[in-house]
Parts: sequence; C-alpha cells; structure tokens
Amino acid sequence: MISRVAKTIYLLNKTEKKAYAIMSISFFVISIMGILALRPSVKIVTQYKKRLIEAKKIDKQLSTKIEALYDNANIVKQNYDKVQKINEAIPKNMSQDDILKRVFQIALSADMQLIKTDFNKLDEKEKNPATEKGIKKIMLIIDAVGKQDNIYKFIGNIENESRYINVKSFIIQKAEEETSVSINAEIYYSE
Amino acid sequence: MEEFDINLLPKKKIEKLPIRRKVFIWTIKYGRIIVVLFHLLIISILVYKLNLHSKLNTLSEKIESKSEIIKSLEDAEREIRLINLKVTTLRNLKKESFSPSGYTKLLAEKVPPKMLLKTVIINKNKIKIIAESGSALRFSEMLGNFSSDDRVKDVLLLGAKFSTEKEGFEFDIDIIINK
Repeated sequence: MISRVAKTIYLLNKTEKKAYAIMSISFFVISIMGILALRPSVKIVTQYKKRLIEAKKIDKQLSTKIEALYDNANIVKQNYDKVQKINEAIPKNMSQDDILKRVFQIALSADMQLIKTDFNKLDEKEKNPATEKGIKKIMLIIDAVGKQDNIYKFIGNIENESRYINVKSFIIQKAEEETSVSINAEIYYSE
Repeated sequence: MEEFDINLLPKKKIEKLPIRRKVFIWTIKYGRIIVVLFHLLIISILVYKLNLHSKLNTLSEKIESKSEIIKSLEDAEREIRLINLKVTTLRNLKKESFSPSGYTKLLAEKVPPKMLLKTVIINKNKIKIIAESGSALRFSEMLGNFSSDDRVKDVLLLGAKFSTEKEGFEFDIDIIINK
C-alpha cells in the first residue's frame, strides 16, 4: 500500500505535487483550528440551544397550567351552589357535634326517639378503594326507636341529608311495644 | 557595451526552496485566508451565542414571573384539587353503595298487611327477614310478590316452623338483590 502511494507521488509532476502539498497542509491547519477554536464554541452553542429548548418547554407548561387554573377557578365560581353542596357532603372537619345535632333533628322530624349514637374511627390499615387519599372516614352507629313507618321515613331522611351518610346496613327489630332500628353508616371528611 | 542582467528574483523554483521557506510562502498566500475565514466563523458563532443568551434571559424572566403567578394561585389550586377529590370520592361511593329507602320501599310494597316483620336486616346485597304470620297463604303471597320483582335475584327460604303457642308460622327468608 505504502509503495503504491510512493509510486503514485513519484509519477506526479511538480505542479500537481505542489497542489497536493498545499491541500494537505490546508486540511491539516483547518483540523487543528477546528479542534482548538471551533469545537468549544460549537459545544457552548449546543448547550445554550438545549437550555433554550428546555426553557421554552417549561414556559409552555407554565402557561398551560396558569390557563387551566384560571379556567377551573371560573368554573368553580359559576357552579358555586354545586360546590357548596359538595363541601357540605364532605366537609373539612369531622364536626362530631354537628353530626349529632343533625341526626337528632332528623330523628325528631321523623318522630323517632334516638337511643344511641356512636362514632368509631376505622382501622387505618383497612383499605377502601372508593375513598381517595386525603378523604378520611368514620363509622357511625345510630340506634333509634319508633313506629315502622317512621323508621322508613327516618332512613329516607338520613339518605337525603346534605352531609353524605353512606348507610352500609341497618337492622329493624320489632319488640312487643316498639320497633327499633340500628343503622351502620360511614361519614367522610377531608383533611 | 556590456549587458547587465539584474535579476532580483530567486533563481531557484519554489519546489527547490527549503521547507521553512515553503511554509512561509504558503502561510502568506493561503494560511491568512484560512485564518480570516475561521475568525469570521467564530465571530458569527459568538454573535449567535449572544443572541441565544439574550433569548434565554428573556425566557428566564418570563418563567420567573409565571412562577410567581402560580405561587399566588396556590390556594385556589388546592381548593380545586380538593373539590375534584371530593367529587371523585362521592362518585365512587355512590357506585358502590345502595339506596336504603329503595329497599324499605320494596318492603313496604311487597310485604302483605298483617305480616309481622320481627327482624329485618338490610345490606347492599341482601334483605334478611324473620317474619311471623297467622296464615301460610299470606306468607306465600309475600314470597310470590318478591319473586316476581325484577329487583330481586333470588328468594331463599332458610327456615319455617309452626308455633302452637303463637298459633302461627315463623319464617326465615333471605332475599338476594340484583346488582
């Protein structure tokens, strides 16, 4: 291979040799200057471009988020009544007093006598896929006595209560003089 | 007259010059062009870099101001997230729960009068009834009423006995509700 190149060079005339020599030296110099001068500059420009693309992406995401927040805030404003109902169904605090008051009022309106109301905090390990993170629940047990029709009315009123009471089960028992009902329900509140 | 031949040019051709001389001639002839071109290229790269830098600065300021806006909307965002969470929770709970008044309505419709419901246990899937009746006909009427309802999947008679004391029948039935 080397002898072939040498032979080829030997066959060239002086002008051609000169031209090839100039070309070789020029390429050599261009390479050296490319490595020393151009490469760092190109590297910096590439980094800047990358940062610019990332910044544009972030800017777009922030704009989208701000737009979405303003839209959602407007929707909340327009549906203020419905939002209030949702907040009443699952309020911010447990408000045990309010629940007791309300259950008593419901019993009174259905002509029922409230015997017992119990609150039980549910085991944290108990998993309920229906409730999302940030919503807590407690068990509510209501014992009351009254007439059978009034019991049905009482249960209906609990179901229609603005605070969401999820009735899981209830037992109606008829004794000699009165009928009793025991309701197992769940109540929710947000953190 | 003698002719003088003053020749200031080198007699040797360039190929015969020493290498140092050749490089010097090349540097003057071609090297300066290459250096100038490279400088122009580097300057244009520098100008482009400055342009990019200025764009980046403008964008950074925009991003900072938008971050401030989002920070000021933190409370609103929290409220919106909470409302969405509550809506999802309520939706899921409604799907899984049952309507107690619907079941009491079913009882009121299907249980004949003079049937004494001693114990009624209601949950999402089942109604358990322990009832007393002076007449077996009334009981069979009740069974028929429940069986013919679309909401009822199955009616299971778990036990039946006749009480001579009470002179009537006592029944234990499970009504399985359709999902």
